[in-house]
Amino acid sequence: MIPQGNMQGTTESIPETGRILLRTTGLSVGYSGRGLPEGRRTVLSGLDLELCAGEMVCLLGPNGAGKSTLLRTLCGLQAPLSGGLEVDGQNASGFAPESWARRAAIVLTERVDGGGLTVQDVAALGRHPHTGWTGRLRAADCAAVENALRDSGAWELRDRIFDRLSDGEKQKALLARALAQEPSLLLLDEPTAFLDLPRRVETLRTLRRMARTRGRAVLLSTHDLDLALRAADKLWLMHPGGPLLSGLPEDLVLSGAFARVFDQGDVVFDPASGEFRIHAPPTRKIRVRADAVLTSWAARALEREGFAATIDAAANSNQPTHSALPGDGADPSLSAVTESKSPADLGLLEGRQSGPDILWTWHAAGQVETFTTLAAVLARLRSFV
Amino acid sequence: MKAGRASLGLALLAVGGALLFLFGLTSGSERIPWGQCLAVLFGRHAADPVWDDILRQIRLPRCLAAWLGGACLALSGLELQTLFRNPLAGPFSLGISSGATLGVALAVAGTVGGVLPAWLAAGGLWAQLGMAGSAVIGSLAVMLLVLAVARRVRGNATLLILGLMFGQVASALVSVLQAFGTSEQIRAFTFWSFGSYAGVTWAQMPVLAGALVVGALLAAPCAKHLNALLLGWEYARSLGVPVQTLRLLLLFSASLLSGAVTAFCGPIAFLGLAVPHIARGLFRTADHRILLPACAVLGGAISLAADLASRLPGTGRALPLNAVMALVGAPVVIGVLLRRNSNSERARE
Repeated sequence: MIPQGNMQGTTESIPETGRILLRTTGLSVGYSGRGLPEGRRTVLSGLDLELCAGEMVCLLGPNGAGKSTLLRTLCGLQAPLSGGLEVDGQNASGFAPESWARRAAIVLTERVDGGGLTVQDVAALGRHPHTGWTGRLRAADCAAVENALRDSGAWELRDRIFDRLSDGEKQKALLARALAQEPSLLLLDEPTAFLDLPRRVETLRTLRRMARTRGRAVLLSTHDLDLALRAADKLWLMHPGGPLLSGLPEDLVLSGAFARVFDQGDVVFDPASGEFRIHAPPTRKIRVRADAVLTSWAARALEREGFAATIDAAANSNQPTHSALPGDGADPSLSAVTESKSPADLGLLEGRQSGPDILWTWHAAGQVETFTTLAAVLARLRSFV
Repeated sequence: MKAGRASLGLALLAVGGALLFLFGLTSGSERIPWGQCLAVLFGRHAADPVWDDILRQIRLPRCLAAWLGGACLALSGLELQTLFRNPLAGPFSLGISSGATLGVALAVAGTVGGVLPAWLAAGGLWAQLGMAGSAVIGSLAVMLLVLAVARRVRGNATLLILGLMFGQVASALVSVLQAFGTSEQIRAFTFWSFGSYAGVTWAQMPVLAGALVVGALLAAPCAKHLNALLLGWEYARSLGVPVQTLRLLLLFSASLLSGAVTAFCGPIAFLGLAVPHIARGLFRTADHRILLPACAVLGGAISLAADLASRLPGTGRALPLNAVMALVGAPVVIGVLLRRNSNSERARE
């Protein structure tokens, strides 16, 4: 579903990748203030994290795990409750707002309006910490703004009014502003939230390329697990109450950490496909016999409806057999859902391409019925059950 | 908007303001020739001693007050709109002018009741400073209230309704104070509360001019930060803006500007709200480094024009200044509301 070739990094010269740009030691993040018990609310504690130049890290975790709080702390928008925070090799606790702004940029998840600024103006705001009190842009500043507009894909939008852009375009403009800051750390809070799938893939690709070519560290939070698994150099997995786990996406999946964080109730992570399933364990099964494409889509429809779909043993034979006796064939399960007890057999569903049409034939308990759509099949099965 | 074109626009507006100023000097119940007006402006005496008196005692202070007051209110309006991130914010719409009124009323009541020293009512520079000071304190109090509430409410209209409510409360308190005033004070107060540049005296002029200079000097270093604030406080902070300092500077500057005007000219509606929008439209920019000077010169010019219009030259009659302001300002507000609605609809599509 996601073209994987797109995700591969560029092979251009890589400036100083691997240098540690962010290091936390025993960091606690959260809120302090009157009205909170003991004057503070700790969201995450004991964080020992590192971010390196050229690296794109995805921060994953369920809602309320503290992703935004961590991001806001790592760019100086809120103070850490305790622990050490080093940016660019310097202790960040004494940073003035402007020192923070030269080192870390953030794209927040809240939608903003731009008060009539053009996209070019918005991007130029990124030079704010680098200019004097008049805010006049020098040649180097203009070059940085242009680079940022081009890197983020907002170059074509530069003369448009920010308020009149679509969500995706606004995202690009705000990214351009962050890039124009020329930060060591680029933090993004759910940059893919309001985008369609192609835009999401494009955004992550842009960020990854930018991390490599400009030697920045990119940290983004997302709920897009599938995309994060494919695109990130590293994942930071958080779950409320537990430690933050860091590692290569594949290692985290294989070690079971991924499943531990995200499995909840009926939602189950399937390591074989790298996808989540949202079904209760099926109590009935149906065997499917058709070519690979028809089988795969029929299985999806059936699983959504709560049936276990299994491949019929004779799937690849061209002669359809009509011996649809209940319980025959011990088939490899298509469904990744663990079956607690053996489900009841509802017979055989056979799919066949016949000219432009697809014919679905259901064999069960001596009956044979034919349908032209899966919708009709499901309707019949529902009434049968 | 290139810097060169912006400077040209500012120069044109300044020239326009100067012409309106001259026109304001010549026209009125007694027509005075341009040449005579210029002569008095450059310190010579007019041919006719009556003209000399009219110009020196009535028209010159009135026109000067109109220009200074307009510049003050427009600057204050621009600061408030960006500070509250609300296009309908202004000294009048947020109830800040009413706060200034309350401050003045309290000061007057204080001198009458003997709580405050009598020199406040005596006239002269110190008295004028005292009046302006109480108005500024009143403005600041209402502004702090609105700011505290603004963090808890969403939506532009809600904030305005709250501002209106604060204004109403302030006006109600003023009425209570009035009930205990002398009939002469009540008459003076009622006249003042209509809003007019006619009553500004030479003794008040240095205070008004001083407020404009100090307010503008406080605003100038904020111009760059105000631009960052257009994206909201969070982004402003992430861009290195010292937000607490900025908030204080803007609050003080805006209270000083609108408080001083209200103390001497009474509450003047719409000017502070409308001028920043007209400036944005004329200069086609949201950049405060251009908008701040633009609002000052444009506010002065529009205020002069409105004052002129309220005098209905040639008819021998006059309109309340705020009636003219409403006729100019209300369409601007309606325009802003309509444009924002169509914008958000377009974004939703």
